[in-house]
Amino acid sequence: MSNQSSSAFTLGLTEERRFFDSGDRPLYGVIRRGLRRDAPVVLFCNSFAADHDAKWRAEVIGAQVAAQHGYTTFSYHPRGHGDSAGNFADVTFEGLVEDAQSAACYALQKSGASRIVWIGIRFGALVAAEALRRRKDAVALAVWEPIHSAHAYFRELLRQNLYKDLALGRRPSMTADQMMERLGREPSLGVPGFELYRTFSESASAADLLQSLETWDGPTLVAQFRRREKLTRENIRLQNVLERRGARVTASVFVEKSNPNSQIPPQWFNEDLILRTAAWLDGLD
Amino acid sequence: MDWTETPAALARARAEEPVTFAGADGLLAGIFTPPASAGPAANRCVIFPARPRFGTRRLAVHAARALAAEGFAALRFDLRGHGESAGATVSVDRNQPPYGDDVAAAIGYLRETKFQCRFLLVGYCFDALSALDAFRSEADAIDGLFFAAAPVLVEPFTDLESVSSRIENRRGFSQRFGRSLRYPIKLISTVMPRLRRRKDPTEDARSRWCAQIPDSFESAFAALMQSRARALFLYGEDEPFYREFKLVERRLLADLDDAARRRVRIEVWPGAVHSLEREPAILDRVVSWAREFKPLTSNRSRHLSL
Repeated sequence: MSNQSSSAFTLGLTEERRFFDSGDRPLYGVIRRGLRRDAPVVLFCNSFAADHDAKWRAEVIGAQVAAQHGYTTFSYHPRGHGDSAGNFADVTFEGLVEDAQSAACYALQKSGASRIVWIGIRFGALVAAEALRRRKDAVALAVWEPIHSAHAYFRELLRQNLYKDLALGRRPSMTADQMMERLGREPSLGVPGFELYRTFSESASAADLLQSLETWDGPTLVAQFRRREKLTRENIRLQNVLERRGARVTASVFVEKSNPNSQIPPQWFNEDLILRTAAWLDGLD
Repeated sequence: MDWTETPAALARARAEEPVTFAGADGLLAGIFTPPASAGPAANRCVIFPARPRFGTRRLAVHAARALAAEGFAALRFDLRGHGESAGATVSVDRNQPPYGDDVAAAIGYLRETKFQCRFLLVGYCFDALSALDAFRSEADAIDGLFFAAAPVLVEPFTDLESVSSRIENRRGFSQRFGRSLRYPIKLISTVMPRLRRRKDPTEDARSRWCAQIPDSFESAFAALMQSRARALFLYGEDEPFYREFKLVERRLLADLDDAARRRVRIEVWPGAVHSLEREPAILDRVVSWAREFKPLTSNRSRHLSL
């Protein structure tokens, strides 16, 4: 947990907070203007549900630091999240991708940039990868502790229920597989922090990072923040696949005390991660 | 997060305006929801100080839009160091001085820029302490406080059960002592164990310390009671915070006169209130509580569907 004041990053920074449309609803967004006119716009694509809330402060400070480095950034809340409109129960993966596309169009229009650097945070990495696959204006991609497979992520979320039961001294009544099966029958299941709806899990279960990035060969930052000091097997695989394709991949490990899959306080951010991302942006020239 | 958005709430979402205003540590960021123009005005602005302003289940977002659809203005904003607000990012805990200055800054901003005059404050956990703290400087402008599930002692008191039982024991002791005066042998058996227990000053000091209400709470509570505002304190009967609050009931509420006591309502729900699962129910309660402040002429709108 850092104690850094965010006002240190905002000196002289122009921030424009507005609502913009995606589909038929207003989404909250904020542009932070950097001074570099030729630079791509940096578009943040944050995580899902309670994880979005937990990573928002990190995104805000990350965007402020990137803007201080000269990059205009755009942050937004997808439908059913944060200050945007929409019902959380109606959110689908396709809807999140549509919001990312709308955010991209809005950010390009407002910034005057013609290219985008995507920063996908956790589940937002899956959304950003799918959105950039459908566009031709992406120049670089950073993923912060990316989710590689939505199906595995949902299973991990449900597994948190088992840990919670054990922590409370209760014997878990179902295995993670049984809970996955139950989610296929019932409208929703509670996981720590929120309700996981079947509508969303079914819409996203096939989402896969490598698959969405099957044609991607641009500069990529893979930032891992976990308790372990080495890259996970999935991150190594992502790095290898992209490098074989000719992509310039930077992999960075930030050791964190807490498990990113469990609840992290909403004020969390990692200053090293943010500064490393800004340095990576500077190295894209 | 599980709230269903109505066309009226969506219309209020479209009318929302992101705002910033000056706080002690820099700019504070929030969203102002103007009241719906159709229907009677509530003439109140509901303020939700939070960390961040939308929270995990978006309690303040939904409540602001629902209330705005019924004629209230609303502001939800990030307290310093959280969300998009400037300031050092620190983990707040019960010994952190509450951010009442931020809430007062929001009131000042709304008064000068949005022409709002009367305010209702809604807070949950630490945010409730910050809302209460604003009474120290803005009591005259505040009509109501919704205070949910906040710690009120200087440190978590795991032995609070034993403090409570000792308070009860002391009461029982007085009664037993009174009775035993008539029977000298009973007097000895009542008093002696008591005297022996009092030989452990460390334990007594500890319980006094742990059961201490912070000065910031006491002074803000005094300002609340000197104002005309009504307050709703909401707790869950199974949570430790409620056991802490019982001490406030005994020490601060017991001395109030009837008129002041009538302005304070304490609701105790079964189970816990300080939990994500209860947030939708708290949201409902916030909305129904705010409706109580609507001018009588606008009663008709109470039946509007959210």
